[in-house]
Amino acid sequence: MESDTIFKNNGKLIMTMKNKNILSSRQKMWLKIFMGFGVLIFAFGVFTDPTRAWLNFLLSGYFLTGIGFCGMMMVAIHYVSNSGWDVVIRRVPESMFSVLPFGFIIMILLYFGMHDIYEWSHEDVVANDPILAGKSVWLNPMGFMIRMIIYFVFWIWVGRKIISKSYTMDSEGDTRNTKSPTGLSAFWLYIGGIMFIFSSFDWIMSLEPHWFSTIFGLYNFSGMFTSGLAFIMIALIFLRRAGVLRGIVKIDHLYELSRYLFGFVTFWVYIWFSQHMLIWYANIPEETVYYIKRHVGVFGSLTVVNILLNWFIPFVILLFRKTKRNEKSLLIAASLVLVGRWVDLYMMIFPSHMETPVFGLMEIVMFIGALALTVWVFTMTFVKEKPMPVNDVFLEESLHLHT
Amino acid sequence: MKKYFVVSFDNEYDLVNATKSFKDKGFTLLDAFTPYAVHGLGKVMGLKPSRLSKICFGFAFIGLVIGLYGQYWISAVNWPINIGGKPWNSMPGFMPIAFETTVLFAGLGTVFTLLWRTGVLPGRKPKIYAPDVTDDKFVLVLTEELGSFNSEKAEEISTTHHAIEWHEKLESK
Repeated sequence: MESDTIFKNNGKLIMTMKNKNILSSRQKMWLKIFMGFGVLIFAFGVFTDPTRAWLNFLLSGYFLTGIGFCGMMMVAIHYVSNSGWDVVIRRVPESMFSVLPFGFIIMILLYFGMHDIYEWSHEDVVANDPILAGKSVWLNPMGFMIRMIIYFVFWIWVGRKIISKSYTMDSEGDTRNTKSPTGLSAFWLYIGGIMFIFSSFDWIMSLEPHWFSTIFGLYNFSGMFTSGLAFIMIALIFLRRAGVLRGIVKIDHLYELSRYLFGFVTFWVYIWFSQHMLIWYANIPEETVYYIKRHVGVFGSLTVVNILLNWFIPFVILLFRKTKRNEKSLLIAASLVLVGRWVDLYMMIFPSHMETPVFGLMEIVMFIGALALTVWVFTMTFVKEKPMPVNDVFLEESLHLHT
Repeated sequence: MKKYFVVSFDNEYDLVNATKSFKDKGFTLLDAFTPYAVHGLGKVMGLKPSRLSKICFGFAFIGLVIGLYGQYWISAVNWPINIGGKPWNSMPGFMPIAFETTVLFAGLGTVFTLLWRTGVLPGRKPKIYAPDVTDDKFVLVLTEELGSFNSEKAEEISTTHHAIEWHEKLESK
């Protein structure tokens, strides 16, 4: 693994780069310990408090899926928009994509916990409930699993086709592959995006099957996008510090990403507020019940924390040009958004089964375990290939990015 | 009397390099005219970052305050109307309009500030330093009070950076 890679462009030496192991063996050990503890406490929780354990499991799986999805989406968006600036950072979202199969495994395992968290999976409940009976065409265990497999197979299978072209270009040097994934990317974005909307209906919104919101998918999409961007930024900052992309990924690349993040945290609060305000305005009992649960007691305070973490604090931090061009402030903003994503998912998932918030060892350890798995898969994929697509036509443009 | 030294280049690289040399030799740059935005030129010319974003923020804040307070005053103080049984002071309902006034004030305020500060107002006759400036040439304009301008030096720098044409222009104040 310890190989020196020399990057030349037009015969000119850019820099010598060691594609070394990014993580020390000690850090790897810690990641393994976190993952192990996550699995242990989950296994323990399944027997003592199955509902809570499976809700945490769903949260972790959905978070992981979002990270993987966002990686693929960033790659596809930049192919479709024909952008050149992102070429040197492209290996980061491409490596994030490899988290998606792990999201698949976790979500498939949800089959065994379905009866603990999804009301509509009990046949006797559905039979006595006219609303659920009416929805049973869509919300039934069989359809749930089939749709899940379709979503993931499409995301992973078509996504792999797009991403593999970039990797083969490294070794074969066929520059036609710079443009060839564009059509497939547009297809993936269109179909995959609709599938993401439906996946959030299936997995998260159906926790409270009597309630519905058509903007719910878009709301989850915005949260997935901000958390994915935050992950890309944190990964880039740490890769720069580890010396892997130092001198290649400039602060200008982070500046572009921070503008993305600035825009999308605002998009998140826009969608959050749209959903909230329409339900508040219409004041229909079957819809307001969702917010009444979330606006009283400790859940009410968490709603405020959610908005502070996901929008207000990152918005204020990223408002200034100076802070958008500073590694440290970006690290703070991105970390807050990642923690905010957990709070956001917690606020969607947990009030469906809990009267008051539960927060303890299980929540902390399982989320850290999920994060450790994400980092582990990401770094293992990243060190396997060259840290940037060396034969891409737009490489030169990306190296000279000015903002 | 003011003297302008107008020099044209064929491409952006010559322009940027020449700008660097002129700056180093102590010439005063009036402006550079290019067919498209040249990256890094502002840095070489020593331009300060634009203050327009601060103006934009100020206008946006004024718009937000006017939007929120205006609606509060109208619907809770001056003319309370019962709409769907909601309280008179209903913050969530005020938000969309406050958002719109924020955007409106920020947008219009920034545009008019820009027009006022740059002097690009309707009916203004543009000053054209070289005829090619509206075409595909990259033009640099130097200025200095008459008498202290070193024309020979300026011509020498222009030659080394492959300038295609230069001329001097006099203008009374």
